[in-house]
Amino acid sequence: MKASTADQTRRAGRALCSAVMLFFSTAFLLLALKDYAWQGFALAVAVPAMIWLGVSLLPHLFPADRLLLSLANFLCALGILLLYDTNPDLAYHQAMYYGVGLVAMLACIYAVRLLRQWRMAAALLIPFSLALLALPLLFGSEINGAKNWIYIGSVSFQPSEFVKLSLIVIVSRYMSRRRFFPWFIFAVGCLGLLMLQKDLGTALLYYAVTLLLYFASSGNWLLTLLGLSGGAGAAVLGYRMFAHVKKRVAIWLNPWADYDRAGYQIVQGLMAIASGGLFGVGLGLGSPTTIPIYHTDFIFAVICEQFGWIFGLCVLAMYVAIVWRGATTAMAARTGFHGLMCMGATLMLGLQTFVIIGGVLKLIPLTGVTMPFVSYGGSSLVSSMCLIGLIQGVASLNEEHLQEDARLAEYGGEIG
Amino acid sequence: MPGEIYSVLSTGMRYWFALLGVLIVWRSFHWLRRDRKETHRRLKRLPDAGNIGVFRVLAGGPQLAEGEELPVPREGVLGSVRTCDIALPVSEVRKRHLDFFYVDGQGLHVQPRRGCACSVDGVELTHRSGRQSPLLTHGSILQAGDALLRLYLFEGLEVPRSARLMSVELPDPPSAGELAAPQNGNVQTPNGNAAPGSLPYWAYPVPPQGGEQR
Repeated sequence: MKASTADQTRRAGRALCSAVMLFFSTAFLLLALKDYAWQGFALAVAVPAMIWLGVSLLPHLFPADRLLLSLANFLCALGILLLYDTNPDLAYHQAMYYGVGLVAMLACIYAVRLLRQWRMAAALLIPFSLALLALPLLFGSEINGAKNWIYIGSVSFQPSEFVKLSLIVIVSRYMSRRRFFPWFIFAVGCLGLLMLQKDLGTALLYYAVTLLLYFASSGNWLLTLLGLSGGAGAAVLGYRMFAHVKKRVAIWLNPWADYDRAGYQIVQGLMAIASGGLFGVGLGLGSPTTIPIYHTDFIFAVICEQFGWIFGLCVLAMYVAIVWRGATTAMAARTGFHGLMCMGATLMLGLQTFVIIGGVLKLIPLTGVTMPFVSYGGSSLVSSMCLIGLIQGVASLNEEHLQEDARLAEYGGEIG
Repeated sequence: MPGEIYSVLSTGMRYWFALLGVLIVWRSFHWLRRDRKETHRRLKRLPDAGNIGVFRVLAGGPQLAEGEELPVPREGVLGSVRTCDIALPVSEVRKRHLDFFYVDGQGLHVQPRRGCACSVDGVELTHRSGRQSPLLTHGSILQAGDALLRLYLFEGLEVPRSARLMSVELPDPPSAGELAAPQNGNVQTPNGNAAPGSLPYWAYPVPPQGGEQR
């Protein structure tokens, strides 16, 4: 007898979860055997257990998409694995941020499902988000040329990572109600603040997501192309005005010209990727620490070095699967607002992945964005989990609506 | 563990990790494909998925037949172009004439766009009407341009407790015989003329009397 859909879904989830658990149990076990550290053996048990809890148990308690959970958990655990190999302290911090990220994801799922007064929420978010984004200019610290960090005691966070979520909610809300000025002024305000902070990578993401959401909501090719041209014009202007932009473009065009100074990071990244070959040099081997800031910007180079090109492509494919799931969820949404919000979250994840991996592979100039889920950083990890939470919230609403349609169909299509 | 042994072990495990990576990706895409097929199957069984009812055309132009039924989604745009959620190719209706959205327990809100107008149960609405505008509930009549439409909501939807009484009386419901085996599919419309091609399973309710609730 053919298995029911629910059985098939459960089997698919179990197979995927088993593969993920097996991967991490063997990977952490291998690392533990390197120096017989008890922490490695503990992680070889704890990480697969957490993945099992997250993927198998969580959907029973909360409305969550198992596939998205599996992929997001895999990528988060991959980041912890790579950090543990090079710097165990960073790995423990990352594991803690992952816990916070899980809670934030659940909060976002429930916010999407339960919040009805999005108009009020969007109106309140505008001044709050602009103020949050302005904080680094007033109290922030400059790191790697950008002043976009805030330190509260020993804890640092990046406001632009959280304002991403506000941007998606505000733009989606006002675009779905066809009110131009609120979202436009907010987006311009955010871009202005980000330019002042010299966080050009994040500004690029904000601009691209806003423009694509505008196209999704209006279908207006002309204005979208005008917006694209405007963005290109702003990029050229930025190149002419800012010396560090010129430097970044020069390094991108020929990093070998200054391989031991300005181009050192990208050259080391490219050499690491090349030395990995198809299957990598092996987990725990190689020298990822020679790449400057390997744990944030160049984590993809570390993946390719240790696990190889094939695995690197698999990681890329996982991001593609997340984006595919997000896009289909957005298109199935019943209201314009939810569709735009889901699409915005998906675009943000997809574009961010493209920008960072493109930079590492020298396809485009390098920017300061992180690789979602994998890169070290609490703000980045938590905001990526929140984006997944928004997508999952809309997916759970779609499922509820389908069930409601099935219930209405039981009335036989009669008019009440 | 000695470095050489670890090196050999790690080098050998590369293929295992690559295999698992490929397996995870393959299962993920297989899951995506299966979910897509399942969703298509479910939507095929639910042709009215996403809709809250229909607009039946009481009067329209030459391109809009009387009695034609236009599915009404939960929210969307009504206009004269095909890309609108409800397309009304009649004169005096602009390309994107008005926005509408349904709220459970309230009814269908309509918001004419700038420079457009419509009427709901005889009450004229413009872009400036705001939130005071009347809502469409079951039996309400919407006029946009030369088109006159009556809204029929699906049974089982949440409707407001105090539904407005309809100004035009709906026809009596067809008999059980007519419902079971309609001869030519024609059903009476409010003005007494037969509407060709009407669906046999529509049940015309008796309008509520006084404070009678649905």
